[in-house]
Amino acid sequence: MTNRKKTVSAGSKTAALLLLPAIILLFVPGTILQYAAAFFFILISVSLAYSRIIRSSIVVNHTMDELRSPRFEFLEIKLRIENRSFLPVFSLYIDDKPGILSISADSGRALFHLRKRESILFTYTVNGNTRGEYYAGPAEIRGSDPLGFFPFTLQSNSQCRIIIYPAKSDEQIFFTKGIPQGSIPVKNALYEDTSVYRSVRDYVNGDEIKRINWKASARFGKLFTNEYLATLSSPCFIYLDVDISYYPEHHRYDHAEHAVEAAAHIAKTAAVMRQQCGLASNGILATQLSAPYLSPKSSQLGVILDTLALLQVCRKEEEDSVLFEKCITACPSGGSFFYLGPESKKDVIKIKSKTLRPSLNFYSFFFGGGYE
Amino acid sequence: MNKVLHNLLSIFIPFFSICAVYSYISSLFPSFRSLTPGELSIVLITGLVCQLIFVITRKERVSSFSYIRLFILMYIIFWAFLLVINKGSIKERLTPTLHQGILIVMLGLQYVWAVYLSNLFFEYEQFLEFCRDYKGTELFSKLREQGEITSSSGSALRLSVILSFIPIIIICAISIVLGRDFFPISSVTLLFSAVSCFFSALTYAYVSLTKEERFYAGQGLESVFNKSRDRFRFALVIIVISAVTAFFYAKPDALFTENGQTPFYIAFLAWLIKLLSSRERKHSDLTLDIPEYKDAEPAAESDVFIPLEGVNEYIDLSWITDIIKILSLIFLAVLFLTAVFGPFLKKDWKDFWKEKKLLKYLMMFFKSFKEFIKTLFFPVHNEKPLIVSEAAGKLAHSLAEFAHLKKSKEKKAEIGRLSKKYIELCVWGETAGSACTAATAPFEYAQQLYAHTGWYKQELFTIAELFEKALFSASLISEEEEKEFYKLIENITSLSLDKTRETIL
Repeated sequence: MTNRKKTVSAGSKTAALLLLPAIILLFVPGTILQYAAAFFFILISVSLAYSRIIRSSIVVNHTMDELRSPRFEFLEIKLRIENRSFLPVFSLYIDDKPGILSISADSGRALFHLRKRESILFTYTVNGNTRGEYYAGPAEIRGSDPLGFFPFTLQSNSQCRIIIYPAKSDEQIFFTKGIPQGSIPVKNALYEDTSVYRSVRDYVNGDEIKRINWKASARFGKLFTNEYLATLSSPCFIYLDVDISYYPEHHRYDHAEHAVEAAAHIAKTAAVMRQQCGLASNGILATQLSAPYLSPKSSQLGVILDTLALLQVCRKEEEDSVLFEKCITACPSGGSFFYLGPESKKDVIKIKSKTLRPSLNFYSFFFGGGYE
Repeated sequence: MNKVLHNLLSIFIPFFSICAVYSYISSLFPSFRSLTPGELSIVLITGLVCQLIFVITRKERVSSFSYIRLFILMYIIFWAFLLVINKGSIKERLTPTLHQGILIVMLGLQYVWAVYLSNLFFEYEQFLEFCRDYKGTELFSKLREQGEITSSSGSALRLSVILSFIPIIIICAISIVLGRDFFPISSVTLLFSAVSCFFSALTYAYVSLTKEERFYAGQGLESVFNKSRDRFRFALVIIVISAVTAFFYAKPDALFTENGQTPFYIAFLAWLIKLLSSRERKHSDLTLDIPEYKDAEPAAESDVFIPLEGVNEYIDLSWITDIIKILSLIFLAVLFLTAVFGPFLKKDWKDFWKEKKLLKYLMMFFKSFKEFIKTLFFPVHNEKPLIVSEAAGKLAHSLAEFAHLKKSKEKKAEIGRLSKKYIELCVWGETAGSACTAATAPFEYAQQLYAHTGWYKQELFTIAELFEKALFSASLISEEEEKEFYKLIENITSLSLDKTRETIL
């Protein structure tokens, strides 16, 4: 509505500015009057044409439509600004409106002077302090003709979606239990894969006869035992409990956020170890208005991190045991089940963990307190 | 650029506007003699001189009464001039002719207009001065705090646009009312009007540019000030093209009212007046008999008793009033002389001439005018920035921060100038293999550099001494010292030095 009003007023201004000298030029005699009318008519017409030409020939685009970054990290947003006309553009103002992302970073605003057919790259940094989904743009462009008769404001069509992931964590997680013949190298001989030969060592009393390397023993005149690569596979499932009502009142949102960060870290570690990973949470995904559930699969780190970025805490105040049971069932045998939740549920989770099937490796992390 | 442009606009807008209006009025009445080129040049030269004095008085920070003093002095000089050129007795010589009277009025009007315009532009100069020290978010917050400076400069500039358009509006309004030129318009009148139009459009373009400058400076974008020049140059080209092209349309007839045909709106007005007058006539047919008013009879003599009537004897005290009159006249004369000529007896006035300030100001104006013309017509090639290492960059940054801590603007500017040159020395030293860090004091660096190169001991220590004096002393260093500082650094840096190469075994 405001834009329409503005357009109407701009149109009437243009008409008035052009019509008055035009009428004088056509109908009112007088040398000086004719001169003045012609002068202002030419001046205004040239300004109008200039303004229209540059208005239609300025193109502003984001070089990337989507960007992802962990919390507290600086992220570069790039805009390509093009002047496709044969006229130079003076004092072109660009405001990409990064909103909350501009706090403690650049404001995403700048002034440019573009020569004819010039294209420049405008780069500014943003900083995501809060996890979630943000948009930079559509950029507001302001300019005018050199005389300032016809200023204009445009809006580009381009937008850049920015997803802020949970913050990075330095903690190290090791997968020490699982099923043999996987991709995680371990030092535990229990997980030796007899199909992947590693080296030989001196025979030690108690070594199985079938492990003796007879060829090497014959060559060197003493017994040698084969060594195999010990690897395990540990598909994991993360259950993230972000029911805010169970977290301690003091800094409850921070504790919940730490839980999300830990979940992201586990998922990343699993991806690095080339393990299948699934995620479920009682939190809410704003886009789907439902709790997320991703069954364990390999190469779905991006989906998990996107889900965690968009996950919002919930306030149910009643325990949702159905989802928990479903996750337990979905976790493959020999896999690792990670529970991340509030400290206040420690006892309940302990009791539950005792009832789980023995092939499952259960890990629990509690926030607002320590972890086991 | 801005100051020169402001001065030029302050002189030329009033001059061409007054000349255009006067010339147009004189072309309407052919019996009215137009101004001769000599008279016009008097007006222009007086305007230029007044503007020059006005700018100097502003720089010297004299009282606001100086504007009135200048006005009075201008007229005293003018009358002295009349005394020389006119003939007859002193009274006849001092009485100006009609044209001289018009010239007096024109000079006065031009002076008042120029002073007013100059003050309006000065508001914007203050805004620019304010913005010079800040950048980015600091500029944004400072302008938020001092919002008045932005709004007052904005309204002053808007007023200057209105003032620049007034004469051309007056001429156009008279022309519309008359409908047709009674007598052919002279080429001088047309030229004055064209130049007046040109300056009006130029002022508009400049003010719209400053409007954007104020807006974007308010957003913390200090780069707007660097980009204005190109835009102004382009606007100037468009205005010149329009002004020249418009001469082809400067004809006494409009496109649709040729060969002496009455313009439609005049015909419409004539018809309207005719219609109204016919109605008036009908109305005037009705007559009313109103009895004539007669003056009353003169009043009878009053028989009221007047005390002391007829008493002729009294004490004559008229001499007291005469003395008071004379005293007050003397007082006023002394007051006038003190106010007008008092400053010429002060020490400041003597110092002004002793220090040859007028010459300095003239040189400065000439230099800035030359720069203005240069930047207006030729593209500016920015000086190639000095390629500095990270250490030199950090040093430059710390020096800039240090300069920012100083309260006086002159001191800030001095440190800024000297540190730029000092960085050149540091870059030179770094190329020679002796880098200067942000923590190295000037004397320390001089020692370090001397130990490394083994040359220019005296020069290096003099540079360090001068630079430390500039950094830490509350007063400014003298001009000679500054020149010496530059000269010594240039002497040293002109010597090319290569980093000692490692011996290859």
